[in-house]
Amino acid sequence: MNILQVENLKKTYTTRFGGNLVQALSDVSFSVEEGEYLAIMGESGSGKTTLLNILATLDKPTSGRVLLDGQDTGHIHAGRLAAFRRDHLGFVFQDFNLLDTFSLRDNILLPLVLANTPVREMDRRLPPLAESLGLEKLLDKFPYEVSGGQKQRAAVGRALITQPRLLLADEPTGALDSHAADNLLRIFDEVNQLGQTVLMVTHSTKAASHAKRVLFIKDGRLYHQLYRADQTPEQMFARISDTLSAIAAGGVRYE
Amino acid sequence: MSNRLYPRLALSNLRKNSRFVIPYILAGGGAVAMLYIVGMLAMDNGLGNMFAGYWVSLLMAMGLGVVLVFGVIFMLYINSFLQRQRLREFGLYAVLGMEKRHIALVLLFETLFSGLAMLALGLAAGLGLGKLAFLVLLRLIRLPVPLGFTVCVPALALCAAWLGGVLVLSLLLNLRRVLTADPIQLLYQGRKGEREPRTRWLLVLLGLLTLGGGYAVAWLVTSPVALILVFFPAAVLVIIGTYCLFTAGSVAVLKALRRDRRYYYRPRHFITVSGLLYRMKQNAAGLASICVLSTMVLVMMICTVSLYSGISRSLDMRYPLQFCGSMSDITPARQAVEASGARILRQYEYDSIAFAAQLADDVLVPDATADTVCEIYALTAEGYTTLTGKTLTLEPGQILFGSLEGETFPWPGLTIGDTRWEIVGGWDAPIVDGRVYAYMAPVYYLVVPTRADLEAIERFQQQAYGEHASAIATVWAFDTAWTETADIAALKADIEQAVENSDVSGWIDCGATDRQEGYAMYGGFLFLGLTLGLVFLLATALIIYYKQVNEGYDDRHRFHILQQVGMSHREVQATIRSQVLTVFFLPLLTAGIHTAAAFPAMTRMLSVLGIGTNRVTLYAVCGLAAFGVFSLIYVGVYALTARVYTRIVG
Repeated sequence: MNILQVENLKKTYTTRFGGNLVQALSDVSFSVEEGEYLAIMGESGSGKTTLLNILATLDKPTSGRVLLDGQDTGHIHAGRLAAFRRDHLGFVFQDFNLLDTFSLRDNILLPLVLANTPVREMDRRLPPLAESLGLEKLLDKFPYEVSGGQKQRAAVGRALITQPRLLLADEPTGALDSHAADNLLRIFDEVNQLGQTVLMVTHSTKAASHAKRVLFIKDGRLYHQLYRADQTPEQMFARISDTLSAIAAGGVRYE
Repeated sequence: MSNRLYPRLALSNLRKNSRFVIPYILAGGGAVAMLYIVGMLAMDNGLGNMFAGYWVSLLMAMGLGVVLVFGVIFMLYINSFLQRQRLREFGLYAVLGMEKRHIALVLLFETLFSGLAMLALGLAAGLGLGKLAFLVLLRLIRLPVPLGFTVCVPALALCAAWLGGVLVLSLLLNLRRVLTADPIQLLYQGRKGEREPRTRWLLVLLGLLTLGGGYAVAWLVTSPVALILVFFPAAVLVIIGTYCLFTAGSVAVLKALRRDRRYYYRPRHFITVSGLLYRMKQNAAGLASICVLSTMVLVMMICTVSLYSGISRSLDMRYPLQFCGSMSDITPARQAVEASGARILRQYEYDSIAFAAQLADDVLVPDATADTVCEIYALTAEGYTTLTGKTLTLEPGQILFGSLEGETFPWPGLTIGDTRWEIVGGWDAPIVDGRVYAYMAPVYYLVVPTRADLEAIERFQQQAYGEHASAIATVWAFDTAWTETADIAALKADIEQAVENSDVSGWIDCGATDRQEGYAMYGGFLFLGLTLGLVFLLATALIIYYKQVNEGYDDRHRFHILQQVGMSHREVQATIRSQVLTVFFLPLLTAGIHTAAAFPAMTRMLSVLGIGTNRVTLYAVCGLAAFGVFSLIYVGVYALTARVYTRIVG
């Protein structure tokens, strides 16, 4: 069953001075199945962040629609959007976006607190999650006291504690060293194996090579897609590199 | 680079940072204007030459000192706010290849331009409002208004010098900060993670002790004499306590709240408690300053308004008759009055002695040192008869004894030295010697049967006090038929001259002339209170403004994250509001509590300073009115600031 269905998404921006229209997304359609691990690749300015913002209900499309579990996110009342995000989506950002005023524990619990979850339920959910992220001993530390990788793991914890239908990650390895990036990608693999649907936007070939499927986006259009099937990440890495070269040369075209 | 670049860059910088620069320029201009007005009143000879004007000049000179010193601190404080916000900008210049001396030049031009704006604005306002302030002051002290418009050159020079000094000082501080830092450090200033504040229990304890001590003084010390001595130290204690509790106490309370998981893990509490914890760390000192300033404004308002509003009544009581003197011999004074041709309408003349002592139950102890001291005002039955017009006869061994306030003395007799007196009544005669109201200690009247008894009492206190002892003198109080102040003042001068030329010792009070001094003094007090109140209020308002704007920039990022994680815009707004409200009204609330705590002490002191205005309701009304006006202005500043804040965060 499709968790996410994106249909004919268009987004045009008006530049600040004069009426120049910039087409950030032109007619993007794809779907994500339950338990899938999808990477969307593209260079800066390709429209991938716009796409993610629309999926995250932080932005609205000019036309087209996004269905999450069959529900049109464009029809959710503005006052309910925050709660919708909280209950159905989990976010991981490039620069972690942890709050400095909270310990890692409180950062992870933040969405549950906002949802008025009883303390007992928090106590039930946190320990197994913290253990799987390797954060048990760091929970009382503050973001400025831990490394970038540890911060990003805490951010993953914050995204997963609500048990979201869809985990959205925006360039999650962008601010990490290679060791921490590998560590994070392994965690993504693990949670995906446990059935978590993951959608990641990235321009890192390394990160994308961990996904089961990779979509390529260029100039606001989907260009191509690759399935990993039973290939290793290394083989996938090579195929993605080839595809990127081809796209840069203006070659391959999605179907 | 062309030489015109720096001034242009400086101008465009000022424009770009207008959100910070405009209030800074207004503050500087306001300070200059205030300085000019107070300086003009302190230095203008016209006022000093006016009758009783020296009082006002003296008070204004005091006020000038306060404004001068406070203004420097305040301007430097705002400047540091301003520069902290701009460190990244300077970092960027450095990275873009500007040398440090170029940055210094830009800073120099910026300071120059804002300084000129402040001076122009301040002097325009000062000159314009100066005349108005002068009129208000003259009205308050009930002096006729002279015509014409004068510019006080020394005050102008003072303003320019003061502003120049302050700006050079801030420029040096800014240069030091920019020139010693390296560009990368400047660029990433303000993005450093803030460490969580620790609970400093020692400070909490110190705060509780000092605050409690200050409050205890206000509540427990009942003698006004002692109070005047300890009020200032008590105020210092309260100020220390306020700083300690705002810094350490707030952290302790918030941490305790955080430990209560059921309370802490609720949406509103979660964000507010953790946010406040950090906010208090950065702002506790500022908030404590706001609180102290507010308290000062309130106390000043209550005192000056209360005193001034009771002034007529006070003066009527202090000066029941036109003249009242007390001399070893009144013959020279009498001759002077006869020589002037003034007709005496009514007069009282009696012998009396006044001295300090203490009452240990029903024993009079000649000891003027401890703070339970009181003033004994003794006269004979004959003198008492003069005052009441009804013959009083006291048998040997009998006295009248009672307090000025009319309280009955709870003992049947009184022991003075070796003599035991029987008290047969209290004081029930008109008061013609208003001096009794000028003593800070409680006054007791003692009426003895004969002149010999009075002399015995004189010897009794002479033995104890030696050369500091009092002597029996004749009190002469009278009204003349004259009504013109000038005539009366001339008569007073004649009498004083006559007393001086004889070998008589003593003094003479003149209601008509002293009354003018009373108005000058209390009116001057009120004016000073209003002026300083205004200065402090403006300072408070600006500090609050800068705090909120600064915090707005810090909070923008946090609230952005919260919205991404799933907090609705409305929830964000509500959280902001509750946080800003707490930060804003905590100092106001505390100032209210401080003022309420100081209230009993203030009423006791005011009852001494403002004769006959010992009316708690009057003080309470003044206090509530002051608090109301103050809160109103405060709320206005809050509304204005909250709007700017929301615009930054949202």
